[in-house]
Amino acid sequence: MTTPPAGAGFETSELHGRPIRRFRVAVSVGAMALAWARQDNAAAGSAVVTDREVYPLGRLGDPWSGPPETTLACAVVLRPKLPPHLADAVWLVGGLALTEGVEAASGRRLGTWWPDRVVDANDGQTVGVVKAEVQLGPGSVRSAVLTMRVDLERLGMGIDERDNLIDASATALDRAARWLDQGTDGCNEAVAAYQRRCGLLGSRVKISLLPKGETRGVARGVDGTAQLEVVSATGMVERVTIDMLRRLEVVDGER
Amino acid sequence: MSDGAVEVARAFVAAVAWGEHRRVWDLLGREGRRTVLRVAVGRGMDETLAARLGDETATTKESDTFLADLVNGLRADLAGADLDSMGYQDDPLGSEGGRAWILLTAPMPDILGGDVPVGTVELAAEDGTWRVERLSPRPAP
Repeated sequence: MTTPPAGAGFETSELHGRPIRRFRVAVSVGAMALAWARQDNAAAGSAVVTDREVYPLGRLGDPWSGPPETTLACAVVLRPKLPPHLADAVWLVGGLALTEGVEAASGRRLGTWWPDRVVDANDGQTVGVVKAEVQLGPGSVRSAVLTMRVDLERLGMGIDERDNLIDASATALDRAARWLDQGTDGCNEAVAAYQRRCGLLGSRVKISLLPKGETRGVARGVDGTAQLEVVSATGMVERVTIDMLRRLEVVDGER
Repeated sequence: MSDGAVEVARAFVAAVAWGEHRRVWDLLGREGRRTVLRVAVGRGMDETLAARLGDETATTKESDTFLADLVNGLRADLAGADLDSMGYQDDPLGSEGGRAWILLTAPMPDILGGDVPVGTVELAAEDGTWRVERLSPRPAP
Protein backbone atom coordinates (compact mmCIF):
# COMPACT_ATOMS: atom_id res chain seq x y z
CA MET A 1 0.00 0.00 0.00
CA THR A 2 1.53 3.32 -1.01
CA THR A 3 -1.45 5.66 -0.84
CA PRO A 4 -3.04 6.42 2.51
CA PRO A 5 -6.71 5.53 2.63
CA ALA A 6 -9.24 8.23 3.33
CA GLY A 7 -9.52 8.92 7.03
CA ALA A 8 -6.07 7.46 7.75
CA GLY A 9 -5.54 10.21 10.31
CA PHE A 10 -2.62 11.97 8.67
CA GLU A 11 -1.85 14.31 5.85
CA THR A 12 0.89 13.65 3.35
CA SER A 13 2.80 16.58 1.98
CA GLU A 14 6.25 17.53 0.87
CA LEU A 15 8.77 19.88 2.38
CA HIS A 16 11.45 20.82 -0.14
CA GLY A 17 10.98 17.49 -1.90
CA ARG A 18 10.89 15.43 1.29
CA PRO A 19 7.73 13.32 1.82
CA ILE A 20 6.19 14.15 5.18
CA ARG A 21 3.29 12.57 7.03
CA ARG A 22 1.71 14.91 9.54
CA PHE A 23 -0.42 13.54 12.37
CA ARG A 24 -2.48 15.64 14.74
CA VAL A 25 -2.01 12.93 17.38
CA ALA A 26 0.14 9.79 17.27
CA VAL A 27 1.42 7.15 19.66
CA SER A 28 4.90 8.39 18.77
CA VAL A 29 6.54 9.71 15.65
CA GLY A 30 9.02 6.84 15.81
CA ALA A 31 6.28 4.21 15.78
CA MET A 32 4.57 5.90 12.83
CA ALA A 33 7.81 6.18 10.90
CA LEU A 34 8.67 2.53 11.60
CA ALA A 35 5.29 1.47 10.28
CA TRP A 36 5.72 3.63 7.20
CA ALA A 37 9.17 2.18 6.56
CA ARG A 38 8.06 -1.43 7.03
CA GLN A 39 4.61 -1.48 5.54
CA ASP A 40 4.78 1.17 2.83
CA ASN A 41 8.48 1.04 2.04
CA ALA A 42 9.03 4.71 2.84
CA ALA A 43 11.98 6.15 0.99
CA ALA A 44 15.09 7.35 2.78
CA GLY A 45 14.49 10.86 4.06
CA SER A 46 10.74 10.42 4.58
CA ALA A 47 9.67 12.17 7.76
CA VAL A 48 6.82 11.94 10.26
CA VAL A 49 5.73 14.89 12.36
CA THR A 50 2.99 15.15 14.95
CA ASP A 51 1.46 17.88 17.07
CA ARG A 52 1.05 15.58 20.03
CA GLU A 53 2.62 12.26 20.99
CA VAL A 54 0.82 9.92 23.37
CA TYR A 55 3.97 8.04 24.44
CA PRO A 56 7.04 10.09 23.63
CA LEU A 57 9.64 7.65 24.88
CA GLY A 58 13.36 7.87 24.33
CA ARG A 59 16.20 5.47 24.98
CA LEU A 60 15.31 2.82 27.58
CA GLY A 61 11.76 4.14 27.65
CA ASP A 62 12.84 7.44 29.16
CA PRO A 63 9.78 9.72 28.79
CA TRP A 64 10.15 13.08 27.12
CA SER A 65 9.05 15.63 29.67
CA GLY A 66 8.44 18.66 27.48
CA PRO A 67 4.82 19.71 26.90
CA PRO A 68 3.57 18.95 23.38
CA GLU A 69 2.82 22.64 22.70
CA THR A 70 6.52 23.47 22.88
CA THR A 71 8.00 20.24 21.51
CA LEU A 72 9.14 19.43 18.04
CA ALA A 73 8.78 15.70 17.45
CA CYS A 74 10.00 14.36 14.15
CA ALA A 75 11.15 10.96 12.94
CA VAL A 76 13.09 10.36 9.73
CA VAL A 77 13.49 7.11 7.85
CA LEU A 78 17.03 6.20 6.85
CA ARG A 79 18.22 3.39 4.62
CA PRO A 80 21.97 3.33 5.21
CA LYS A 81 24.23 0.76 3.61
CA LEU A 82 25.64 -0.41 6.92
CA PRO A 83 26.79 -3.78 8.23
CA PRO A 84 25.10 -4.75 11.51
CA HIS A 85 28.18 -4.18 13.69
CA LEU A 86 28.19 -0.47 12.70
CA ALA A 87 24.45 0.02 13.26
CA ASP A 88 24.93 2.16 16.36
CA ALA A 89 26.63 4.80 14.22
CA VAL A 90 23.07 5.94 13.44
CA TRP A 91 22.86 7.36 16.97
CA LEU A 92 25.95 9.47 16.40
CA VAL A 93 24.85 10.71 12.99
CA GLY A 94 21.44 11.55 14.43
CA GLY A 95 22.84 13.45 17.39
CA LEU A 96 25.24 15.34 15.18
CA ALA A 97 22.57 16.22 12.63
CA LEU A 98 20.10 17.42 15.25
CA THR A 99 22.82 19.53 16.85
CA GLU A 100 23.79 21.13 13.54
CA GLY A 101 20.22 21.59 12.37
CA VAL A 102 18.94 23.15 15.57
CA GLU A 103 22.02 25.32 15.82
CA ALA A 104 21.47 26.60 12.28
CA ALA A 105 17.79 27.33 12.92
CA SER A 106 18.10 28.79 16.42
CA GLY A 107 21.45 30.55 16.34
CA ARG A 108 22.31 28.94 19.71
CA ARG A 109 25.65 27.23 20.32
CA LEU A 110 24.97 23.55 20.94
CA GLY A 111 26.86 20.32 21.43
CA THR A 112 26.31 16.60 21.45
CA TRP A 113 26.27 14.46 24.60
CA TRP A 114 26.81 10.73 24.17
CA PRO A 115 24.76 8.85 23.34
CA ASP A 116 21.48 10.60 22.70
CA ARG A 117 21.42 14.21 23.80
CA VAL A 118 21.82 17.64 22.32
CA VAL A 119 22.84 20.20 24.90
CA ASP A 120 23.31 23.93 25.21
CA ALA A 121 27.07 24.44 24.91
CA ASN A 122 26.97 27.18 27.56
CA ASP A 123 25.10 25.55 30.41
CA GLY A 124 24.94 21.87 29.44
CA GLN A 125 21.14 21.77 29.64
CA THR A 126 19.42 19.28 27.37
CA VAL A 127 17.58 20.90 24.50
CA GLY A 128 16.93 17.79 22.44
CA VAL A 129 17.23 14.03 22.29
CA VAL A 130 17.53 11.45 19.55
CA LYS A 131 16.58 7.81 19.45
CA ALA A 132 17.73 5.40 16.76
CA GLU A 133 15.76 2.25 16.00
CA VAL A 134 17.49 -0.02 13.56
CA GLN A 135 15.87 -2.81 11.59
CA LEU A 136 18.29 -5.49 10.46
CA GLY A 137 18.08 -7.53 7.31
CA PRO A 138 20.26 -10.45 6.26
CA GLY A 139 23.81 -9.23 6.81
CA SER A 140 23.03 -5.53 6.75
CA VAL A 141 20.87 -2.75 8.11
CA ARG A 142 17.55 -2.73 6.27
CA SER A 143 16.29 0.56 7.64
CA ALA A 144 16.63 2.89 10.58
CA VAL A 145 14.27 5.41 12.09
CA LEU A 146 15.79 8.38 13.80
CA THR A 147 13.45 10.15 16.21
CA MET A 148 14.29 13.70 17.18
CA ARG A 149 12.63 15.71 19.94
CA VAL A 150 13.45 19.33 20.66
CA ASP A 151 12.44 21.62 23.50
CA LEU A 152 11.43 24.75 21.60
CA GLU A 153 10.81 26.78 24.74
CA ARG A 154 14.36 26.23 25.98
CA LEU A 155 15.64 27.41 22.62
CA GLY A 156 13.44 30.50 22.68
CA MET A 157 11.64 29.35 19.54
CA GLY A 158 7.96 29.40 18.76
CA ILE A 159 5.81 26.58 17.48
CA ASP A 160 5.49 28.45 14.20
CA GLU A 161 9.17 27.79 13.59
CA ARG A 162 8.70 24.03 13.58
CA ASP A 163 8.87 23.59 9.84
CA ASN A 164 12.12 25.55 9.61
CA LEU A 165 13.57 23.38 12.33
CA ILE A 166 12.37 20.18 10.68
CA ASP A 167 13.87 21.26 7.39
CA ALA A 168 17.19 22.27 8.94
CA SER A 169 17.51 19.09 11.02
CA ALA A 170 16.40 16.72 8.28
CA THR A 171 18.74 18.40 5.80
CA ALA A 172 21.62 18.07 8.25
CA LEU A 173 20.65 14.43 8.69
CA ASP A 174 20.65 13.81 4.94
CA ARG A 175 24.15 15.26 4.80
CA ALA A 176 25.47 13.30 7.77
CA ALA A 177 23.76 10.09 6.67
CA ARG A 178 25.93 9.99 3.55
CA TRP A 179 28.77 8.92 5.81
CA LEU A 180 26.76 5.83 6.72
CA ASP A 181 26.87 4.70 3.09
CA GLN A 182 30.66 4.78 3.03
CA GLY A 183 31.38 1.83 5.29
CA THR A 184 34.00 1.97 8.00
CA ASP A 185 35.73 5.05 6.60
CA GLY A 186 32.48 6.96 6.52
CA CYS A 187 31.61 5.91 10.07
CA ASN A 188 35.04 7.04 11.22
CA GLU A 189 34.42 10.45 9.69
CA ALA A 190 31.04 10.62 11.39
CA VAL A 191 32.65 9.68 14.69
CA ALA A 192 35.34 12.34 14.31
CA ALA A 193 32.71 14.99 13.60
CA TYR A 194 30.64 13.80 16.55
CA GLN A 195 33.61 13.88 18.91
CA ARG A 196 34.45 17.44 17.93
CA ARG A 197 30.99 18.48 19.16
CA CYS A 198 30.73 16.17 22.20
CA GLY A 199 30.75 18.05 25.51
CA LEU A 200 31.02 14.84 27.52
CA LEU A 201 34.55 13.98 26.44
CA GLY A 202 37.17 14.75 29.05
CA SER A 203 34.64 14.49 31.88
CA ARG A 204 34.96 12.11 34.82
CA VAL A 205 31.99 9.81 34.63
CA LYS A 206 30.25 7.15 36.67
CA ILE A 207 28.31 4.77 34.49
CA SER A 208 25.69 2.28 35.66
CA LEU A 209 25.58 -0.68 33.34
CA LEU A 210 22.94 -3.07 32.10
CA PRO A 211 22.17 -5.69 33.26
CA LYS A 212 24.23 -4.75 36.36
CA GLY A 213 27.53 -3.28 37.39
CA GLU A 214 29.28 0.02 37.24
CA THR A 215 32.34 1.56 35.70
CA ARG A 216 34.11 4.85 36.29
CA GLY A 217 36.81 6.88 34.63
CA VAL A 218 37.33 9.69 32.18
CA ALA A 219 35.28 9.67 28.98
CA ARG A 220 38.09 9.74 26.44
CA GLY A 221 36.35 9.26 23.13
CA VAL A 222 33.79 7.49 20.99
CA ASP A 223 34.89 4.76 18.62
CA GLY A 224 33.64 3.70 15.20
CA THR A 225 30.95 1.47 16.65
CA ALA A 226 29.63 4.31 18.84
CA GLN A 227 31.09 2.84 22.01
CA LEU A 228 32.21 5.29 24.68
CA GLU A 229 35.83 4.78 25.73
CA VAL A 230 36.32 5.23 29.45
CA VAL A 231 39.89 5.33 30.70
CA SER A 232 41.18 5.17 34.26
CA ALA A 233 44.04 7.13 35.79
CA THR A 234 46.28 4.08 35.30
CA GLY A 235 45.31 3.63 31.68
CA MET A 236 42.73 0.84 31.88
CA VAL A 237 40.37 1.29 28.95
CA GLU A 238 36.78 0.11 28.95
CA ARG A 239 34.30 0.42 26.15
CA VAL A 240 30.64 0.97 26.89
CA THR A 241 28.08 0.28 24.19
CA ILE A 242 24.84 2.21 24.00
CA ASP A 243 22.95 -0.98 24.88
CA MET A 244 25.00 -1.40 28.07
CA LEU A 245 24.28 2.10 29.35
CA ARG A 246 21.75 2.38 32.14
CA ARG A 247 22.73 5.78 33.50
CA LEU A 248 25.63 8.17 33.07
CA GLU A 249 26.64 10.75 35.66
CA VAL A 250 29.39 13.32 35.44
CA VAL A 251 31.40 13.38 38.66
CA ASP A 252 33.27 16.35 40.07
CA GLY A 253 36.66 16.24 41.72
CA GLU A 254 40.06 14.72 41.12
CA ARG A 255 40.76 11.04 40.63
CA MET B 1 48.63 1.57 62.93
CA SER B 2 45.13 0.42 62.03
CA ASP B 3 44.30 3.96 60.90
CA GLY B 4 46.70 3.31 58.09
CA ALA B 5 44.90 0.06 57.35
CA VAL B 6 41.58 1.90 57.01
CA GLU B 7 43.15 4.33 54.56
CA VAL B 8 44.68 1.54 52.50
CA ALA B 9 41.35 -0.30 52.43
CA ARG B 10 39.65 2.88 51.32
CA ALA B 11 42.26 3.48 48.63
CA PHE B 12 41.92 -0.11 47.43
CA VAL B 13 38.14 0.10 47.07
CA ALA B 14 38.45 3.45 45.31
CA ALA B 15 41.04 2.02 42.91
CA VAL B 16 38.67 -0.87 42.11
CA ALA B 17 35.77 1.53 41.57
CA TRP B 18 37.77 3.85 39.29
CA GLY B 19 39.42 1.08 37.31
CA GLU B 20 42.94 1.97 38.45
CA HIS B 21 44.16 -1.50 37.68
CA ARG B 22 47.85 -0.93 38.38
CA ARG B 23 47.10 0.74 41.69
CA VAL B 24 44.95 -2.25 42.66
CA TRP B 25 47.94 -4.51 41.96
CA ASP B 26 50.30 -2.21 43.86
CA LEU B 27 48.03 -2.28 46.92
CA LEU B 28 47.81 -6.08 46.91
CA GLY B 29 50.27 -7.78 49.20
CA ARG B 30 52.39 -10.81 48.36
CA GLU B 31 49.81 -13.28 49.59
CA GLY B 32 46.99 -11.40 47.90
CA ARG B 33 48.81 -11.55 44.57
CA ARG B 34 49.51 -15.25 44.99
CA THR B 35 45.84 -15.82 45.73
CA VAL B 36 44.51 -14.01 42.66
CA LEU B 37 47.01 -15.75 40.40
CA ARG B 38 46.14 -19.12 41.92
CA VAL B 39 42.47 -18.42 41.25
CA ALA B 40 43.27 -17.36 37.69
CA VAL B 41 45.21 -20.57 37.01
CA GLY B 42 42.33 -22.54 38.46
CA ARG B 43 40.10 -20.84 35.91
CA GLY B 44 42.33 -21.76 33.02
CA MET B 45 45.14 -19.20 32.85
CA ASP B 46 48.41 -20.57 31.52
CA GLU B 47 50.77 -21.23 34.42
CA THR B 48 53.77 -19.67 32.69
CA LEU B 49 51.76 -16.49 32.15
CA ALA B 50 50.77 -16.56 35.81
CA ALA B 51 54.44 -16.89 36.73
CA ARG B 52 55.34 -13.90 34.54
CA LEU B 53 52.56 -11.87 36.09
CA GLY B 54 53.74 -12.86 39.54
CA ASP B 55 57.31 -11.81 38.99
CA GLU B 56 56.23 -8.79 36.91
CA THR B 57 57.96 -9.87 33.73
CA ALA B 58 54.73 -10.09 31.72
CA THR B 59 54.22 -7.78 28.77
CA THR B 60 52.15 -4.62 29.23
CA LYS B 61 49.35 -6.13 27.17
CA GLU B 62 49.33 -9.33 29.23
CA SER B 63 49.28 -7.48 32.53
CA ASP B 64 46.67 -4.97 31.32
CA THR B 65 44.36 -7.80 30.28
CA PHE B 66 44.84 -9.71 33.52
CA LEU B 67 44.46 -6.66 35.74
CA ALA B 68 41.34 -5.50 33.89
CA ASP B 69 39.80 -8.92 34.55
CA LEU B 70 40.89 -8.66 38.19
CA VAL B 71 39.31 -5.23 38.58
CA ASN B 72 36.05 -6.40 37.01
CA GLY B 73 36.01 -9.43 39.30
CA LEU B 74 36.51 -7.23 42.35
CA ARG B 75 33.81 -4.88 41.10
CA ALA B 76 31.44 -7.83 40.90
CA ASP B 77 32.27 -8.63 44.53
CA LEU B 78 31.30 -5.08 45.49
CA ALA B 79 28.27 -4.88 43.20
CA GLY B 80 25.21 -3.45 44.82
CA ALA B 81 27.09 -1.40 47.38
CA ASP B 82 27.22 2.38 47.10
CA LEU B 83 30.97 2.82 46.96
CA ASP B 84 30.80 6.58 47.49
CA SER B 85 29.08 6.37 50.85
CA MET B 86 30.66 3.18 52.12
CA GLY B 87 31.89 3.14 55.71
CA TYR B 88 35.21 1.63 56.82
CA GLN B 89 35.53 0.27 60.35
CA ASP B 90 38.51 -1.31 61.97
CA ASP B 91 37.25 -4.67 63.22
CA PRO B 92 38.94 -5.06 66.62
CA LEU B 93 38.02 -8.74 66.80
CA GLY B 94 40.02 -9.53 63.71
CA SER B 95 42.89 -7.09 63.99
CA GLU B 96 46.05 -8.26 65.71
CA GLY B 97 49.78 -7.79 65.34
CA GLY B 98 50.62 -7.42 61.69
CA ARG B 99 47.09 -8.08 60.42
CA ALA B 100 43.97 -5.93 60.18
CA TRP B 101 40.36 -6.56 59.24
CA ILE B 102 38.44 -3.60 57.90
CA LEU B 103 34.69 -3.95 57.81
CA LEU B 104 32.94 -2.32 54.85
CA THR B 105 29.51 -0.98 55.70
CA ALA B 106 26.57 0.54 53.89
CA PRO B 107 24.98 3.41 55.82
CA MET B 108 21.51 2.81 57.18
CA PRO B 109 19.51 4.88 59.69
CA ASP B 110 19.70 3.67 63.28
CA ILE B 111 15.96 3.14 63.30
CA LEU B 112 16.48 0.46 60.65
CA GLY B 113 19.24 -1.22 62.56
CA GLY B 114 22.20 0.93 61.69
CA ASP B 115 24.95 0.37 59.16
CA VAL B 116 24.88 -2.91 57.25
CA PRO B 117 28.10 -4.85 56.68
CA VAL B 118 28.72 -5.48 52.98
CA GLY B 119 32.23 -6.89 53.01
CA THR B 120 35.62 -7.16 54.59
CA VAL B 121 39.11 -6.19 53.55
CA GLU B 122 41.87 -8.21 55.15
CA LEU B 123 45.27 -6.54 55.27
CA ALA B 124 48.75 -7.53 56.34
CA ALA B 125 51.70 -5.37 57.25
CA GLU B 126 54.54 -5.66 54.76
CA ASP B 127 57.74 -3.67 54.96
CA GLY B 128 56.10 -1.06 57.19
CA THR B 129 52.98 -0.50 55.10
CA TRP B 130 49.59 -2.14 54.92
CA ARG B 131 48.78 -4.25 51.92
CA VAL B 132 45.54 -6.00 50.94
CA GLU B 133 45.42 -9.76 51.23
CA ARG B 134 41.76 -10.39 50.53
CA LEU B 135 38.51 -8.63 49.69
CA SER B 136 35.51 -10.61 50.86
CA PRO B 137 32.03 -9.58 49.78
CA ARG B 138 30.63 -10.81 53.06
CA PRO B 139 31.65 -9.73 56.56
CA ALA B 140 34.23 -11.86 58.38
CA PRO B 141 32.72 -14.46 60.75
